[in-house]
Amino acid sequence: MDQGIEVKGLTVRFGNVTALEQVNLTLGENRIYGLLGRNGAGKSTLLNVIGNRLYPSEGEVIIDGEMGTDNDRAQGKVYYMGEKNIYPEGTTVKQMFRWSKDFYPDFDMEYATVLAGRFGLNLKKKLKGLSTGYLTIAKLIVALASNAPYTFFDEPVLGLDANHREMFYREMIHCYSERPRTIVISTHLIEEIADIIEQVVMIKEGKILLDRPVEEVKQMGYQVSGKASEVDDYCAGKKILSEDLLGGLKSACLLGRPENVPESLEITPLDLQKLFVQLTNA
Amino acid sequence: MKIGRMFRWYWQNTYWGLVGFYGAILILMLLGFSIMIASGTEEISVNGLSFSSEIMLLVLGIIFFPSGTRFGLSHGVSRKTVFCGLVVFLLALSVGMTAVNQLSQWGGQQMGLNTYGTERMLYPSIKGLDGRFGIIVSQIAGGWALGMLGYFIGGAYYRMNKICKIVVSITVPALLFFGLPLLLVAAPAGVVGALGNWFFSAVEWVVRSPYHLALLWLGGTVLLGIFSWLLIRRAPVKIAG
Repeated sequence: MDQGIEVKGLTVRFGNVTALEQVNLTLGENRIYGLLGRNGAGKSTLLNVIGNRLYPSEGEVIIDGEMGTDNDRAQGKVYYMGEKNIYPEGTTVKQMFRWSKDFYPDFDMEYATVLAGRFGLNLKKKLKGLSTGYLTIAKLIVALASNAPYTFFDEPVLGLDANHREMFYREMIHCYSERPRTIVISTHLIEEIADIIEQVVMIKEGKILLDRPVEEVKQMGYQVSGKASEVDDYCAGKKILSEDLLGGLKSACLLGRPENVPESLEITPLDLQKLFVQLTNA
Repeated sequence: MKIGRMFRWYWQNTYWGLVGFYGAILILMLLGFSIMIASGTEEISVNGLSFSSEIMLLVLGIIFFPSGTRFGLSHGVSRKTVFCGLVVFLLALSVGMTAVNQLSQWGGQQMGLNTYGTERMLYPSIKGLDGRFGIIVSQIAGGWALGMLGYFIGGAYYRMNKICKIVVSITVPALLFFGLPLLLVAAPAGVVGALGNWFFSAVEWVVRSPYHLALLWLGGTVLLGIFSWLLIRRAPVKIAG
């Protein structure tokens, strides 16, 4: 595989704790991935290893056909926006942009400045003076403007209000359509990214649980709704993921494909979050 | 490799520190000059410029392990490049600071201050250009070694867990201030004597020529460089601490 990222037999141990165990994963070119998992599942660890912030205990990361770990050229293609701030606190937003330009030659300073204006981010402000939300915005802008072929967002909307979250998703799609790249979003807000991502990677207890296109995942089950008694009758003997009752109406998420559905019941595609909850709870 | 970019980053984070450092030195020299004029004293000594530069390099080394590692690894730079950039930067900074120190010493002397006191005390027989060159080389090597020592200390502290940090922070000063004197008192006289003789003969060898001192510093730089590399080669990005 010449283009894309290949993770082979990746294991990361912290003392006695195994955070990732024999993970094999391929991140193809120009696709948007959703990396989903419960707290402590190993999402950030995986992104940290691919982004060279952590050294793996075993296994390797190959980026565009060359060894990714501790390789300047390969790592120059990866931008990882993490949860924490890695800049000295006295750094201003403008300095942050300048440093990013220095290390990522494709960094679009003009676009970053425009985005800062749109988000209402003051370029002269020091990072220590920014609220959690605005610090996230500053990091998001750098990630979007970096134009790195592999851009990772780890909890990208931490502390953002609904308006800013919507702006971010819009800008991300705009960036992706203008300059396609591989984007990985690791988040707990599954509903918000369900319509953006193309591929779902679910991780559980350090192992890959699922790695499929989002449409395929959504076809793993379906949602049925209608009168409670009719839904109950239909669901009898079927694998139920979740149920919601509202007055006399009921909706249920089921695994499998819909068969012999009475006309009075409504069938809709499966909710990704409900599937996630079910799969990761089991 | 992105050594040049890391070099620039280290420089940007040193610049204002240097301005403050040399600002303080200038104030000190002007103060010495003013006292000399006001009190009519024949000679005022302003010494220790190279020593304070080395301390500055030590501090920079301590700071640059966590900040450089964190920044470099988060900007697509390999550990190898972060390390090589730092080694080159410390050498360049040591050369630059030595040059400024030499100029400051010369300037201070023109103002009538005694700025060569420490060197004359260490190497009384040295005169002329060759002697000065030897001192310059030893100061460059000294700054480089102290910078690497700082980097090693910063690296060791960065890699330790919280418990280790607490234990080391307590035991190292305790050993230096209490353990070592107690050991010297408690050890048999013969052992202390032998250690003393060895130490003084080493000092004698060092002060015989500034090139000996430079050699000692360079040996230290290599050794600390190896240890520091071992600390950074698998270092993770740690945000706190």
